[in-house]
Amino acid sequence: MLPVLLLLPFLGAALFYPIYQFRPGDRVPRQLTLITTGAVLVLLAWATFAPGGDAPREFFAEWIPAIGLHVSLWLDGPALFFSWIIAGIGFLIFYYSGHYMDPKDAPWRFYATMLLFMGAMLGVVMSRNVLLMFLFWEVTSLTSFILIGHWHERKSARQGALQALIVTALGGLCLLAGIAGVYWILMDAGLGGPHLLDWDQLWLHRDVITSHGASFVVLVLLLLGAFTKSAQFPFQFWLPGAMEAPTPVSAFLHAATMVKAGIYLLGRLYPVYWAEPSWLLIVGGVGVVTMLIGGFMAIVSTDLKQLLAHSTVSQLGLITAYYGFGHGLVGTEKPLPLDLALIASHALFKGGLFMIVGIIDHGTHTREWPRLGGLRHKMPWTFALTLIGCASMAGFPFTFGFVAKELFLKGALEVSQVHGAAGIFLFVTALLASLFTVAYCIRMVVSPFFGKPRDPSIDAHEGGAGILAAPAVLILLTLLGGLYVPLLERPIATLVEAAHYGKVSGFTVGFFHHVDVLLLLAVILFTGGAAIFLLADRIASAHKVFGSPAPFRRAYEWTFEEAAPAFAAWLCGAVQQPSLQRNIAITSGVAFGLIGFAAIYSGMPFVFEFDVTWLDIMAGGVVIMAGALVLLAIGSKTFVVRLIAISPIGPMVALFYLFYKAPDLALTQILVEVSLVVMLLLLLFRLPQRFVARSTRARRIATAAIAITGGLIMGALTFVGQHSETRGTSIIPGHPPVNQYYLENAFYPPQKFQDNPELAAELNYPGAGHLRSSGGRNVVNVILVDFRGFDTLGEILVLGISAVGLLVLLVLGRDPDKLPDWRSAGRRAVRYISEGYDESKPPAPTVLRRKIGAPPSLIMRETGRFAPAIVLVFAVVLFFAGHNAPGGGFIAGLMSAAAFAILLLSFRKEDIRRLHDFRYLTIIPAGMAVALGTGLVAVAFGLPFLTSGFTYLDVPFYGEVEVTSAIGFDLGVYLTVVGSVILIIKRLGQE
Amino acid sequence: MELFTPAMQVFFFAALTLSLGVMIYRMIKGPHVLDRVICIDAIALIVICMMAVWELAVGTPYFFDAILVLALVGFLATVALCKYLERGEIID
Repeated sequence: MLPVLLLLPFLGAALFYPIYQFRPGDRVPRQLTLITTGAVLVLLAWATFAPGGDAPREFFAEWIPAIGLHVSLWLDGPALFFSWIIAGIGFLIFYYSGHYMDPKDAPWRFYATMLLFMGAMLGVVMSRNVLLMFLFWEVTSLTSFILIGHWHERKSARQGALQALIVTALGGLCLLAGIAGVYWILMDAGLGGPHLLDWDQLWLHRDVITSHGASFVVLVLLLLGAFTKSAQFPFQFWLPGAMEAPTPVSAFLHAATMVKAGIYLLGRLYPVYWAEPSWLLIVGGVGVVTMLIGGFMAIVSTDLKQLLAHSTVSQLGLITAYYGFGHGLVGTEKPLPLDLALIASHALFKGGLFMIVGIIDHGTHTREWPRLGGLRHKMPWTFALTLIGCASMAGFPFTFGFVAKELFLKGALEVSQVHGAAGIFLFVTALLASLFTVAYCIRMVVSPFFGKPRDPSIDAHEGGAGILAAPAVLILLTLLGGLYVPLLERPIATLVEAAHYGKVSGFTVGFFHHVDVLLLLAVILFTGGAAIFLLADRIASAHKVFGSPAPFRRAYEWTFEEAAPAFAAWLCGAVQQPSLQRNIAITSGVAFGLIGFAAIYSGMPFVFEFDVTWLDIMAGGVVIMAGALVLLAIGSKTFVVRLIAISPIGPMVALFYLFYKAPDLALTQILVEVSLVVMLLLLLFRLPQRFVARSTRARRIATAAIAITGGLIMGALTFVGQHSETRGTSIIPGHPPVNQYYLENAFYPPQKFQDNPELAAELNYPGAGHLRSSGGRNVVNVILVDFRGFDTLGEILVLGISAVGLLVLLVLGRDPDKLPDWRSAGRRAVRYISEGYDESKPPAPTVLRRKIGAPPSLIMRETGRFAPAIVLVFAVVLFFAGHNAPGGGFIAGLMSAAAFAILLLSFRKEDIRRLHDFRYLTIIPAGMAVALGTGLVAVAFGLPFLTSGFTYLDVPFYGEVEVTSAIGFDLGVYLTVVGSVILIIKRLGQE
Repeated sequence: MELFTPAMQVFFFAALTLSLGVMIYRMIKGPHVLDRVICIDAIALIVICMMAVWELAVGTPYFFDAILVLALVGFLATVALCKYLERGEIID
C-alpha cells in the first residue's frame, strides 16, 4: 500500500502527457492534480486511522545491496506527520493556484511539476532508507528549479532558479558524502544487512557512529546538506532569490515543504547526535545567527514577499536552533524536542501568509508596502487573516504560534542556564532575533492595512471567496490550534515519542498559568518588537549605508555567474575546433588508433595465410569496383557527383556481405545506405553547389593517412577474425570463443524442448538464474535482443537523442543570432560547416530545373499510392520474422521509414497533410519506454533485467512457431528507429 | 541432371561482373550528370541479379529478403536525385 501512496503523484504527473494529446481544456491539469492529491489524502487517512493489520505501515524491497540502497518505506511518527502536511497543504495550494494563476500560463507544465515535487517530498519523508531519501531529496531540488523558473522569460527568474539549484545540489553532494561516511563507519564496525541504512538502525547503532574518529566530519557533511536545503547561514541567500517563483510555488516549496526537508533531516539526526558536544554549538549557533540575519533583513524589506522570505529564513533558524538546544520535556531522561509542534505551526501560518500576499498582489498589483496603506477598509477579510497569521508568527497568545514560541524560549532559557557563556550568547541572540520577529510581524499588519493609502493610483479590491478559501483554512487552523492546545497534547506526544525513541510522561504548555520568567520574556518581546518597528526607518537607512550584498551571495555570484562561465567559454574555444573535418579527423583517428593498439596489445595472432576460392575473387572484384567509385567521389568537384558516386556502394557492400553469408548485415546495409543518400540529398539544399578545395597539402595527406590506416586496421581485424585458425581460439583464456558460445547457445530446438522438460525448465524461467538460450535461429538477432540486449538499449537511446538533437539544431540553426550569448568561438563553430567551402561564390545553378513548381510526376504519384503500403507490409513481416530469419526491429524500422520517404517523394505536402503533420517525435520516447518496460517485466519476476522467455506453440496447418518476449524489446527498437529516421527526414525536408 | 552446375554459376557471374564493370565505367566517364544517375539504378539492378544467382548457388532461402528489400527500396536514391535535378527540390 505504501508504494502505491508514494507512486500516486508520479503516476498522476505521467498521465499529463498522454491526456494532453487529446487537447482537453486548460482547466484539466488542475483538476487532475486535485484528484491525485485527494487520492493521496484518502490513502493517508486510511493508513492513519485504520487498524494496524489492514493498512501496513512498512514496506521493503531489495534494490542494490552492494551500496545498501533498498526501497524501504515507512509511515512512522514524523513520516506520517510530514506526509499530512505535504499532502494537506499541497491540496490547499493546488486549490489556491486555480484562482491565482492565469489559466493560460503553462498549466500543464506547472501542475505536472508540482505533482512531481509533491511526490518527491513524500518520498523524502517516507523513506526509511537514508540513501533512498537522498534520491528523493535531489528530485525535490530539480523540480524546485523548474518551478522557480516557471516564468523563464525573465532573467531574474532563471538566475533565482539556478541559484537555488546550485546551492541545494552542492549541499546534496555533501549529504551524499555524509551518508557514505555513515555507511563506511558502520561497515567498519562489522555491521551489515539490508536494513543497515534505515533510520531506526542508525539510532540503534548511534554509539558506533558517534564514537568513530571520522564522526565529526560526517556530521558536518550531513549538516551541510540540511543547512543548504533549509537556507541556513551561510547559505541563506538563495531563498529570497527564489521568490521569483509564482506565489503558490513559494507558498508550497519555500514555506511549507521543501525547506522543511532540511529541518526533517535535522529531526532524524537528532536522536543519533544530540549528545555530541558540537551539536549544540553548531546547530544552535547556526540557527540563532540565521534567525537574527533573517529577522534583520525582513524588517528592512520593502517587498512583502521578500519580507516573508526573510522571515522564513529566520523562522527556520528558530527551529534549527531549537534542535540545537535539545530542550526536553519535563520528567524525561533524554531531551525530547517538541519539534513537530514548531514545524506544524510554521507551516500553517507561513503557507497562509504567502497566499495572502498573493491575494494582496492580485488586489492591488503591487507587493511594496511603502505604496500601500489603509487596506483594511477595502480588504477586510484579508486584513483579518493577516492579523491572525502574523499574531501566530509573532507568538501572540491564543495562537498555535504562541505554543511554538513558548517551547522555543523555554529551550533557550535552559541552555543559557546550563551551558555558560555559549548558552548565554545563544539565548541573547535568540531573544534579539525574536524581537525582530515581532517587529516585522507588526510591519506586515500595520503598514499595508492601517494609515492612509500612500499611492493614490492603487485601486484595491478584495479577493473572491475562492482565492481566500485556502489561506483561510490554514490561518483558522493556527487559531484553533492555539485555542485547543490540550486536545493536541496526546497526538503530538505520540508522534514525538516515535520520532525520538523516548517516553513522554506529560507536558504542560499553556497560557500563563503562573508568573514566571516566560511571562516576563513575552512582555519584553512585544514591547521591544514594537519599539524596533517604530525605529524601522532608522534601521533601514543604516542598512543602506552598509549597503553591499551579503558576502556569501557575492561569493556565489562570482564563482558561478562570472568565473565558471568565462572558464567554460575559454575551454570551448580552445578545444572545440570550428571545423567539422577537424573534428571527424580527431575522433576517427583516435578511435582507429585505440582499436589497433588494443588488437596488437592483446596479442591477436595476425595470421595472413589463406586459400583463395573463386568466391574470394568475386568478392574482391566487387570491392575493387566499389573502390573505383570511391576514387571518383574523391576526385569530383561538385557535391551532386560525389553523392551519385557513393550511392551504389551500399548495394555493392551488401552483395559482399551476402557472399560471406550475412543476410542481416546485407539488409541493414541496403536500408542504411538508401536512407543516408536521401538525407544527404536533403542536406544538399543547405550547402553551396560548387566548392573550391581549400585544403592544404598537409591536410590532405593527414586525411588520407587516417582513412587508409583506419581501413587497414578494420580490414585486418575482420580478416583475422574470419580466419579458420583464430575462429576456434579465444582471446580470454579459459572461456570459449565468443562466436562459438553464441552459436551453441542461441537456439534451443523444439524437439529437445519436448523431450526434456526438466532441461527446458532449467533453461527457461522461473528457475535458472541465467538464461542460456533463447529459441531463436537467427544468431545475429538473438545477440542483439537477447544476449546483448543492454547494448541495444543504449544504442536506441543514442539514436533517439541524436534525432532530437538534430531537431534542436535545425530549429536553432536557422538563425545564428538567436543563439544565446556564447563567446565568439561558439558562434564561429556554428557558422562553419566545413572549411572546404568558398562562400564568396554564389551557388551555381543545377543542371535542369525545367519543372519548378509543377505537380509531382504521374508515375511517382501512382506508384506512391500503393508502394508505401507494400513496403510497410513487408516491414511488418520482417519484424515478426526477426528472431528466426533475417529481419528484426531495426530493419523493420528502417523499412517503415523508407515507406514514409517514398510518400514524401511522391506527393506534395498538402496531399499527405495528416501523415506529414503527425508528431513523430512522440514515437521515440514511446519506443524507449516499451524497450525498458520489457526489460523491467523480467525484474518483476525476480530475474535479471532484460531476461527473455520463450516457448513453442503448435499452430494448425502452419507448424511450430516460436513465441518469445524479446519481441517486446524489438518493438521498442522498432518504434525508436521509425520515429528517429522519419523525424530526421521530415525535418530536413522542411524549409 | 543438376540444374545449376558450377560452370553455369561461373558463366552467370562472369556476365554480371562484366555488366557491372561497364556500368562503373559509364559512371566514371558519363559526361552528363543524368548518365551517372542512370548508372545508380542500373548497378542496383545488376547487384540484385547477382544476389539472386548467389542465392541459387548456395541453395538457401534466407537471402531472398535482402533481394526483396533492395528491389523495393533501392530506387529511392535515383528518384530523389532526379527530382532534385529536375525541380531543384526534393520534398515539396
